[in-house]
Amino acid sequence: MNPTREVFENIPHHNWLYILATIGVISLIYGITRRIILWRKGKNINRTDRISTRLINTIKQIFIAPKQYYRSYRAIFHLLIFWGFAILFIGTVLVFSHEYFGFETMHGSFYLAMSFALDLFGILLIIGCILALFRRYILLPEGLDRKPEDLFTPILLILVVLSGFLVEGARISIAQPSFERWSFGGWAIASLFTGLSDTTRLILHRYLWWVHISLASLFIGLIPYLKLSHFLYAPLSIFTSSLEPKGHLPMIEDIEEQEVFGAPTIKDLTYKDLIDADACVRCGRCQEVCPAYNSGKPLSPKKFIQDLKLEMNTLSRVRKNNNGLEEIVGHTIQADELWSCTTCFACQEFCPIFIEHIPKIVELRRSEVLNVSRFPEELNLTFKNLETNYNPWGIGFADRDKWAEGLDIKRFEKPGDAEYLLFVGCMGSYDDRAIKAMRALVSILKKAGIDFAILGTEELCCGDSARRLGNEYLYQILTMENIEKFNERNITKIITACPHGYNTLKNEYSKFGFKGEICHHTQIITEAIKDGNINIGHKNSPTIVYHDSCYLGRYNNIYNEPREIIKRATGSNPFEPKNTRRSSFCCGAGGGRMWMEETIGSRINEVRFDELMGCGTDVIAVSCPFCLTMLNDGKKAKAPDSDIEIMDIAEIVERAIS
Amino acid sequence: MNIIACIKQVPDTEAIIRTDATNPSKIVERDIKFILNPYDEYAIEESLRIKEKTGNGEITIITIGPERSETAIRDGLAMGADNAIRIWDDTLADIDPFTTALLLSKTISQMEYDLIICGKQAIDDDYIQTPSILAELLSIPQIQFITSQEINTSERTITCTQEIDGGRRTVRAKLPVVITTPKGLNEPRYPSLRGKMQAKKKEIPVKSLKDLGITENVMDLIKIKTMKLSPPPSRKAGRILEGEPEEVVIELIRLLREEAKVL
Repeated sequence: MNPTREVFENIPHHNWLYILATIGVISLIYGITRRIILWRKGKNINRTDRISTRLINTIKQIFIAPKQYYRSYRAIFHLLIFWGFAILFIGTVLVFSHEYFGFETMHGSFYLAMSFALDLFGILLIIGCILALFRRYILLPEGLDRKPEDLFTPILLILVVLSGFLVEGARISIAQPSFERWSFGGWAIASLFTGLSDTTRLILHRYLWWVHISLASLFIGLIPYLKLSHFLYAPLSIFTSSLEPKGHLPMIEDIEEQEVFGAPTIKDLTYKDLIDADACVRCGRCQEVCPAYNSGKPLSPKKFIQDLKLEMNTLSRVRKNNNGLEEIVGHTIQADELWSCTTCFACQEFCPIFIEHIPKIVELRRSEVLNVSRFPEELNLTFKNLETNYNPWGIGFADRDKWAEGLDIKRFEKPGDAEYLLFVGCMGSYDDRAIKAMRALVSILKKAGIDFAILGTEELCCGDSARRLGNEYLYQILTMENIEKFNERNITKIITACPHGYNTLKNEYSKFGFKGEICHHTQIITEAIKDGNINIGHKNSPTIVYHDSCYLGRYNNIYNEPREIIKRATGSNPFEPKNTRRSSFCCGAGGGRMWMEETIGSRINEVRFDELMGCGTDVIAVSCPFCLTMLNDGKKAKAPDSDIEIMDIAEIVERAIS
Repeated sequence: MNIIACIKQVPDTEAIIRTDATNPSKIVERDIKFILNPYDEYAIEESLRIKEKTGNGEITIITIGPERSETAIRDGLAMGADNAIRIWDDTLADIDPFTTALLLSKTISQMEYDLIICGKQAIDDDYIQTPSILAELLSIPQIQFITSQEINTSERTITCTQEIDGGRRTVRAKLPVVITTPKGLNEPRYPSLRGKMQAKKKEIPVKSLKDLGITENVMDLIKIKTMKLSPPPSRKAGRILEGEPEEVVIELIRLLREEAKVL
C-alpha cells in the first residue's frame, strides 16, 4: 500500500482557506511595508555593497548563529523554536507544492519521513516555547521585561502547532491507516478520539481544521506586529551590518560645508539604524554586558534601541515635511544616558543580530556637540585644551616630549630618520604613571635593537576621545595634522603603546589618506621575544591577572600577544578574571569618559578593580595607559593598603629582562 | 541693547615665555599659542546672555592687535557675537593701558552702545587698568568685577552685585556703563560647529590710527613704557625624605629649622 493522503479530504469549501490566508498575507505585507516606508525616511548609507560577503554572513548568522549560542542556556529554546519553525514552514511548502505544482512529496517513504519530521519538530517547537515561557515567567531573569507580546507570542505559536496536532489526530482517527504511526504525535492523539462515532470524528476533524487554519492565518497576519517580526528584520540588520573594522564610525565628509551634524532627529539616523530598532527583540544580551548599566548608570543599550523605536513611531505621524519631529536627546533619550557610554563595544560584540549601538550614540553626541553645543560642562575645557595644546589636560604642547628627558631618543624630523615612529600619545607624554610605562617600553625597544624615533613636540593627540565624544570637527583637525606630519616624513611603520591610538591610527586614519603598518607594543614585544632579540627570564615571578583593554581586545582582536608575553615573562599563563577576552569589562575610560565626572551609580573602574583584585594575584597587568590609570584609581579607592600592583605589560617585561 | 565686548589675544597660560635677547621688554612669539584672554570669554558669554534675555541689539567685539588676533575675534564670533572691529597699526606693538583705552574710546564714541563689557584683566600684562581708563575717557560709570547683573531696559539701568571683603554689595547705575567680568561669573559656552563656520565667513574690518582720527605719533601718547621683562627664578625641586618615620621627622624638623628657617 502506498502511504499517502488527500490534502483536503473531508474539508468541503476548503477554498475559503484562501480568503483567510489572503487576509493574513495582506496584513503581513501591510505591516512590513509600513516599516519599510519608515526605514526609507532614514539617511542613505551604502550597506548593499559586497553582496556575497553580506549574504554568506547573514546565512551563517541565521543557521549557525555563533553569536546566538555563546555561553547561553537560552540558546536551547531558541534553537528548538527556530528549527521547529523552519521545518514546519518547509513542510507546509512541500504540502503546498504537492497539491499545486505536482511535486509528489506526499507519497511513499518520503511522505512517512516528512510526517515523522513534522511531528518531531512540532513537538520540539512546543517544548521550546514552554522553555521560553518558563525562563521569562518562572525563572524571572533580571533585565528581561514581560510585555504582553512576550506572553502572547509563544502561546500563539503553541496554539498553532497544537491545533495542527489535533487536526492530524482527528484525521488519523477516521481511517487509522497503520502507516500513519509515523505521524507519531497525531497517532497518539488519534487514540483519544477512537471512542467517538464516525460522524462525530468527521465533524470534529472539519472544525479543528478550520480552527488550525484560522490560527495559522492569524499568526501570519500578526508577524509584523509582534516580536515575531525579528525573523524578517534580524536577517536584514545582519545583512546591512558594517563590513568595516569593528567600531567604525562614519566620517562626516566636507565637514565645513555641512549644515546639520550627527542625528538631531530620528530621520537623521541611517536606514540601517532604523532597521536595527525594528529588529531588536529585547533579548538583553547587550544590557548584561554593559559596564554603564552594570554600574548603575541610566544607560541600557537595550532601552536605548527600544527608545529609538519609539522615536521612529513619531516618524509615521510626520508625513510630508519633517516639522514636528522632536530632537531625540531630551525627548526619548536623556543626556545622562547618552554620555554614560564608554564605547567599550561589549553590546555590539554580543548582539546576535549585529545591531550597531555605538555609531548611533556617537551620531547623537555629534548632534549635541556640533549643532547645539550641549554636553557635560567639564568637556568644555577638554575640547579647548585639545584645540590649544593638543592634549586633553591643556599642558603646554611644548612640553610634550618632557617625558623623554635623559632617554636619548631620536626625533623623527625627515624621511628615513628611523624605521619606526613611536607614537607616544597623550597619556604616555603627560600622565605620570603612563610615562613610567612609556619609559619601560623605550628601554625594551632599545634593548631589542629596534630603530625608532618620536615626533616630540610635533605630535598631536590622536583624536580618539574627541571623536567618540562627538566632536568630529576637532577629531578631523587633529587627524589631518598628524597625517600631514607622518606623510612629510614618509612614516609607514608606527608603534603605539595605547590601544586607542592604535585603533585610531590603524582603522580610522586610513579614511583620511594615511596608510601604514601600525603595531601595538604588545605585538612588537612579542616579536622581539620570539626572534630572540630580548631575553626574558622568570625568577621569583609574581602571579599576574590580565585585564583586556576594550580597544585592543574587542576592537582589534589582540588577545593572545599580551598573554604570550606574560607567559614568557613569568613562566605561567596569566590568571583570567570572570569577564575576560571578548567579555572583558571596561575600565571606564573609553568613549571620552576619561575626561568626564562619574557621579551616577558606582564607579566602573572600581567595579572592575574589585573583580581583578578578587583573583588574588600579585599584579594586575594591563596593556593600555587608560586602564593603567583607571585601575590605579580603583585601587586607591578600594584597597589603598593592598600590595597589589597594576603594571603595564612593558613594565613586566622590563622587570623580567635578564 | 547694543553691547561692546573689548577683548585681547594673549599667550596661552601654558606657553613657555622667553624674552627677546635683543629687546628684553618683548617676548618671543615663535612657539607660542595665542588664545582669547580667558576673562574676556566671560565677558562675551555675559554679553550673549544679556542679548538672549533682552532679545534685541547687537554684540560687537573690539580688539587691538595684529592679524593673528583674528583667531581670538573669531572665537568670540563663533560663540555668538555679531560683529567685530580690529584696530591695528604697526606702531601699536608696545602700547600701554592708557593708549589702549584711548584707541578703544575713539572707536566706541563713533558707535551706538548701551553697555561695554571687558574681562577684568588681561592675563599677559595684568595691568587691570584699561576698563577704568576707558570709562573715564567716555565719561561713563564703571562697575568692576561683577558677580551678577540685571538690566532694566525701560529704566535703562543696570544693577550689579560685587564681592567685597566679608560680604556683597549691590549697586545700580544708568546705562551706558563699563562692567568687568571675573572668573566664575558664568560658564563660557563652547561654540557649535555651525557657529564656528559662520564666524569663519564674517568680515572683520580693520581700523587704522588714521581712521580713528589720531595723527600724533603713538609713542608720544604712551604714558607707561615697559623697560624689561624677566622670568621668575626657577623653582627648586622638592625633596623627599626616606627612612623610618622617627628618623624622617627629626630630619624634617632640622631642615625646617636650619635650612628653611621657618621654625
